[in-house]
Amino acid sequence: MGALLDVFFAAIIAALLMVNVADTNDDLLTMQHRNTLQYALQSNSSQLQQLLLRDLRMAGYGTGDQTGVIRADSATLELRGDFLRDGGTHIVRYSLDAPGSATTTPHSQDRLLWRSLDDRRPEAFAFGLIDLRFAALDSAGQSTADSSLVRQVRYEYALESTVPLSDRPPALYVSGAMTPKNLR
Amino acid sequence: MHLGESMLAMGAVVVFTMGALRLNTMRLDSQSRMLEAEYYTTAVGLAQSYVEQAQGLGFDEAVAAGVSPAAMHSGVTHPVALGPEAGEIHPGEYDDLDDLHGHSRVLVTPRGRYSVNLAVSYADSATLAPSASVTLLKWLTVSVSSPDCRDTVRVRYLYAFR
Repeated sequence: MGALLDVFFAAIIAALLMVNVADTNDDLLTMQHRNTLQYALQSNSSQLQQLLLRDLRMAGYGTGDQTGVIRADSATLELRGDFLRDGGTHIVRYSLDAPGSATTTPHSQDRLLWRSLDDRRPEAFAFGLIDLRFAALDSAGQSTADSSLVRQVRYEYALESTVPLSDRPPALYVSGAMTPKNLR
Repeated sequence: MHLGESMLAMGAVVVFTMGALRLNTMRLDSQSRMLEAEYYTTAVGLAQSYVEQAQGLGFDEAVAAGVSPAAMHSGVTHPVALGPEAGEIHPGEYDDLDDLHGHSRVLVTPRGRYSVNLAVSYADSATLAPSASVTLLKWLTVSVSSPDCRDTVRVRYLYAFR
């Protein structure tokens, strides 16, 4: 009887130990997955900033007396400039699609970012964008609808991992501003 | 069961308990570090946005004023005068890199609160170390801190007159 009890308790201890080890392994795998998603998120954010800011820097370049920022409100941005460096004036438009429009990613709320140049076919980007807002500011930092007064464009965006992970997926919130040289 | 065996069993339970507690501490610590890494991701994104903004600014007020490259050494902003010029109150009015010196901002996001502080200094052209004298190189240091992060994220950007 005593030996049987010994075996029974030893089995319980061994089971507890195995559960703990399994939990630890599960945690390590989740962490590894989360880290990978965070790297991807950082990379998406970097790509998004480079895309947006490259165009913002060019706003007003080679446009003469025409305004460089045509529209920057809510989720729409419209810029004028010589984006192709061909001596012409072009218009770049950014707009954010509805939640869930990025059907190529598993994230249910992922929104497509559309970029179009003049009348060319728009390009779609799926970065895991949940929210994106633009604001046109004058030299005093006040929001303005008068495109001739725009000196700075403020942008804010929220990115979430395109791959869902628990109820709190990796997310990133960025807020910044760009003062295009050609608008001064 | 003899006393010796009981002692051994007790010892095993104590060792097992301590091991389990240590393992759980390690797991909790790893999880908190993982979540902290997420705050750093946003902090780096914010710092990057300031670096991108800085890339659109001129090297110095003297450049905007049309000082010739040959006279740049004597014409640029004195190291103690780095910061926005008179009349440049809002960041939208900043036109050169050192206007960002001393700029600070608090940003509240759904997942944390961040403080951003910017500093600009001249850089020694030989060693790239911060310099108290005028050179044609400037360092921009963007520091982003959060109560949820143990360390401050610092991103440095070297801007050369060109």
